[in-house]
Amino acid sequence: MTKGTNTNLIAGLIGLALSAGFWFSLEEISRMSIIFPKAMIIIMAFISVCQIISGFISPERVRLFGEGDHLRAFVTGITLFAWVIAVSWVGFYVSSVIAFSFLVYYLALARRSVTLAQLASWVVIIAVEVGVFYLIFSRLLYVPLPKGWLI
Amino acid sequence: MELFQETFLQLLHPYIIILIFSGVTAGLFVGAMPGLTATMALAVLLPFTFTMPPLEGLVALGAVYMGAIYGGSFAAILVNTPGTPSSIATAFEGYPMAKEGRAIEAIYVATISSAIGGIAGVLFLLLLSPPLARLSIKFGPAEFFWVAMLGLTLIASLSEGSLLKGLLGGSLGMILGTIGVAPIGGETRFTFGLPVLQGGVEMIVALIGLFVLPELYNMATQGKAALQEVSISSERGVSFFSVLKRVLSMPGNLIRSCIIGEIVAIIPGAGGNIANLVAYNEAKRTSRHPEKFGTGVIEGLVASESSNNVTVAGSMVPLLTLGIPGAPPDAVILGVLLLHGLRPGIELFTTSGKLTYGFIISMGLAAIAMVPVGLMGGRLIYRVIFKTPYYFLVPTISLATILGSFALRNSITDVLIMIILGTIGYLLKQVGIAPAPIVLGLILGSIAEIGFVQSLLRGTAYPYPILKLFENPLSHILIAMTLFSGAWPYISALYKRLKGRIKSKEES
Repeated sequence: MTKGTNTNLIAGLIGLALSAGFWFSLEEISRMSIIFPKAMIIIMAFISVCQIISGFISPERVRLFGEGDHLRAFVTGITLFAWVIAVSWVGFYVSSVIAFSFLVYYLALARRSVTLAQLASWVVIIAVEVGVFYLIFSRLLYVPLPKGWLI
Repeated sequence: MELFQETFLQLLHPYIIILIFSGVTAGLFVGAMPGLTATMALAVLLPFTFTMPPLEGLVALGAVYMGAIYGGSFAAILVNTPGTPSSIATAFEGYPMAKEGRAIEAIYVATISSAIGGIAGVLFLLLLSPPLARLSIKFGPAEFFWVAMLGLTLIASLSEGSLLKGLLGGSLGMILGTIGVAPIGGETRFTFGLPVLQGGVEMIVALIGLFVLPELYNMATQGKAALQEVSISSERGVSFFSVLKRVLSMPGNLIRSCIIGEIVAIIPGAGGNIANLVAYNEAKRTSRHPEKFGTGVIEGLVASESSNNVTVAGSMVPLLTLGIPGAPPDAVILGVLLLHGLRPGIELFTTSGKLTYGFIISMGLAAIAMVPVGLMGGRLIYRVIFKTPYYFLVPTISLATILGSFALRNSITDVLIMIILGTIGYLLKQVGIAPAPIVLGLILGSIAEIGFVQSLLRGTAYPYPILKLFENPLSHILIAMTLFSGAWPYISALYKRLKGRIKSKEES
């Protein structure tokens, strides 16, 4: 038996689900505003159906999330979301140093063991690096970075 | 001629020269890192140009683009891992040369060929853009609709994976592009009750998310950013000028590779990743000793590096004239043009001529700047890159993407949209739907929508207004090209199957 997931079928089903999602969120507005999105949804649904059919006729089998440790990608994603949400509450600089340090520590564990002394030295480097970015954007490029409770 | 002189003189300002050199250096850094593409280099460094005037911003990004494509050759030569997909064929010859202790010679060859390719691309752009821009005046709404469709089918058929998956990604991008206020009609669509979506998905935010985040997740998953380097200490003595003489002694190879690069560059969605392989194959096919290819032959390296750098300026031909990005990095350049209120077409070459020609010529200067930057800073850049651990690289790039998305409109929501799109892009990539067709669909969507709706409005006198889309001879040509590009993957697959059958029959 061939290993792997039928990606043609999965892609087709995702396309069909997205088409349905967009179709049911359409509101009653004027024809000129809605005609193109409607046409595109129908086209996407048609392509998705073709993709599903090709999934039955000539399936392309690929091992989804095959190589590497996908938990690391998941944790990275969650950290990014938490980082961005924390920026408005805690402030850009502090939240960035915390999230950056956590990511460095977590990702480094995949390659080596990390001692407390190493981590402390990394945090200093990170504080300087984020500080440089902070100064460039806030002082040089005049971007009002979120301040939050701290900075 | 006066315009050229004026434009050239404004580029000789020390600040512009510094911008060119720093842009090439920054691009070289990012491009030399395996896994980081030229698109990523542009997307990550984009925020630094937000506060610059249009010309300076474009000059800096053009230099970054040129440097990133050239930078890909460093990793290809030294670690057998193409820094960008544009340097795949460079690794075929460059790495064997490095293993023989000829790494510096290979870097010299790549530098000279890249500079020649970069300058050739600028010349092509200067020659081809104005006539094509004049032709674009003849384009009405229906033609623009078909140009967008042609771009979409070309992108879908040339991008990685199957045509259907490419089309699926493209149509998803087009729907994402319709979020917000309708360009004709003025009502909002797909806002899901969120007022923030009324302004639509900001193109640069989508670009950063879809191009950068999937690569970051990938680096986190793999747990590495670079591979083992070869030792370059045991260098055989070789002078830059002797290498220059050898490269210039193969004009046929250079001219052929530059022409191939330009042809591929004009096709939307293709770019350096295809050009370098086609040029390398042609160099091998026409060589007097094709059997030696793969063992460190300079001809192959010259073909790959000159053709991929032609595409930098060359792929701007459809971008500056029709608003269709020739390669994914051009999408970022388009975003910057639109950000400054500049619309592709004839006006770019007339009303904004000084700016446009300034940008084009600056890319030629960036190609020349690659020589001193690559030769003097190459070793240093290389050492810094391979000493930066991946666990510092991922958060650093994350920080730059967060800052870049925020700086655009000072909006945290934009950053969240960037992360959501990037995460979706990563998941879709797992099932074979690449981010490039989604982004290009997002860009082409607005061109297609305006063309489609305006055609329908102009055709209201017809019993079926949609027939307006099929009325003009120019539309017929574009429809034929669209159908051909859509059918091409199937035609070529059929041809290969038939060829295989004939071969097996002959053998039996």
